[in-house]
Amino acid sequence: MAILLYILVFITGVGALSLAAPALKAWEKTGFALPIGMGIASVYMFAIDLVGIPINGMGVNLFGLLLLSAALFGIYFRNPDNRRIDPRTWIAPLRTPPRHIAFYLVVVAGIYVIWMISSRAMFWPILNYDSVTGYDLLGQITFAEGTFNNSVFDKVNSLENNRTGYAPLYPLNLTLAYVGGIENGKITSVFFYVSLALAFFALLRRYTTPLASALFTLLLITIPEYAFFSTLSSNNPPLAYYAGLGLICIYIWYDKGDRSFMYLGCLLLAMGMWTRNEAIFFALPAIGLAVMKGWRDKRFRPALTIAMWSFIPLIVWQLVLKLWLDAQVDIQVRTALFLDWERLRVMKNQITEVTFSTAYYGVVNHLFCAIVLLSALIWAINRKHTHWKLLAAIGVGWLLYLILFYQMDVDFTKVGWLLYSYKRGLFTYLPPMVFFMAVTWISRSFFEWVEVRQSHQGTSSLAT
Amino acid sequence: MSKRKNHPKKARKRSSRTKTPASAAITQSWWFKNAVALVFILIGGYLLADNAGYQRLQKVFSDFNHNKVQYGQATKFEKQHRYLGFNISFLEQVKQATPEDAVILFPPRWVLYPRNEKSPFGKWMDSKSYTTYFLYPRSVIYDNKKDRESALYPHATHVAVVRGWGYDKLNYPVTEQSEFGIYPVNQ
Repeated sequence: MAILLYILVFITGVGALSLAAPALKAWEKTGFALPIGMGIASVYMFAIDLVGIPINGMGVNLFGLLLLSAALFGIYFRNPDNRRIDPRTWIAPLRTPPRHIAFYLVVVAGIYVIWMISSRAMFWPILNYDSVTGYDLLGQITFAEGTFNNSVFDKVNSLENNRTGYAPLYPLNLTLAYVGGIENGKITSVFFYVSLALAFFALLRRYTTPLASALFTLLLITIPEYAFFSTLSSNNPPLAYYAGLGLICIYIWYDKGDRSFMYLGCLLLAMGMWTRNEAIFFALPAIGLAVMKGWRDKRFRPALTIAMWSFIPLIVWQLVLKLWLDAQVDIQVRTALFLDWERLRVMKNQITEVTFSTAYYGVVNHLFCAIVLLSALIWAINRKHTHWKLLAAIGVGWLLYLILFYQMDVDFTKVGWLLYSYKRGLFTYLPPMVFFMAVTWISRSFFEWVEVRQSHQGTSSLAT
Repeated sequence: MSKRKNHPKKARKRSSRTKTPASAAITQSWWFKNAVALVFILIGGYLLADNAGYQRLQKVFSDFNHNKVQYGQATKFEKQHRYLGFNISFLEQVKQATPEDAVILFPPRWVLYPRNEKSPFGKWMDSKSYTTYFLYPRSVIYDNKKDRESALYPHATHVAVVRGWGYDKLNYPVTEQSEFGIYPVNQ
């Protein structure tokens, strides 16, 4: 039954993608379908829970997903143009396989890493503290009691803590796994990890060569702390998927003008917000990009659309916390700006230590800085397309995140709180950072030189 | 340009017969560039192998391969025990000895983690969310939080005895007192 359930989740995801982003290629949809489907499933479960239907039944979830996918495809096929299905487009990438030995070497290494991470995730039960006292506690009790408003939020014997106050996408997907009869909820982590590799590779292929796409995808999925966290049960890797790829998609729309990517970006950012409200640090730069794009023609509808998709889940969740769950979310942020040099000094030291820790992030952050500097130098000479706006969006998001840390009413001079939180928070910035490294002129030029003449077309298909 | 020439099927057939620039490119240049890419990948991999982070990842993989052999046939409890040690043994004992509607009184933090002695427990046994996760649907209350949990406190059905603490909470005498155990409040 679990297989049937996740096939329906996948189909629902494909249906939503077909409607929102028809320009996506079949293999691109494969990388996005499961996480989008899981996001939709969590919204569906939450909606029926609000009207009092128990969400722990197999039937109600199967029926709902079947109905949703039928509705999505029904709307999609109402357009006669969409009825002409050409299966050849699905296998198009296989017709022109890359001819580079190194590409296959990297792909094999990637498959090995994915296999090891997935096997380790599924081998050990959920044991990490954050999930045991938060996400999985909520997921298991929701499965047992059939409602999200369960004994965790019981005022007589409350089990609430900061982790139970996060938006419900992740715990509801743990519940969904248990509904399907899967004993280990970490199947959810595996789906996000595999999907990140597929979707990231697919997005990179729009900009760069097969070898570069595979190599930078391998660089992303082997980031030690991120890979390790993907074997645990945590909502940070799902946030990295949704918000990180969401910002990339909005940037692709900004850069290439393909509206499919704008709507896909909206969907991803909305689901990021439905996972953790920190996705706002990606939604704001995304809105900024849309405002910049529409500034000349005074067209601000896309910016409003992105803002609407991003803020509705945030507002809904805050209302749910207050009105339905009556939850005690204990996050204290100072609203008034202040200047404390000692706090800034401690923060700078801790953040530098974590950011440039090779034990956590391997060489990625060092490589990122090197490529940014090198790109700046080369750009000063040749003025080639270096995707500075993407870098600015990442920078703005990161600065906003640091400001939040600074404003939080926590004495991080004494405890390692900042180290732990920031370490995981940085995951979300990694996909856009690695994307920038791959698409900047210097990287593309090198891989173009190595690869392009070997493509079947014989000419460069790369973006300039 | 004739109509025939523009027919897509014919054009495709013709293009498959003609030699594409790609096939022509499998030459010395192709071998050279493959070699460059391979050397690039291999040198990169060699340099990264020395990096602390990737060594950590390798260790995670090798430990996992080792654990797969050792715990391949293990039950969920045995796997939990590998990481949680005495915590899970004690909680499993509590779970086995109590009904699902039990309200279990746990000792205060200073009993679980005495200041000058080594506790047999690992971390987090003083967290209600943590102990409830393994004992659900049973309810857990802590003696040091009885003010906050005053509504449930009088309804405690069982006492988790830790290092001799808790016998005074029972409504009957226990002759053979052990250091750890789980007892009903009323006999």
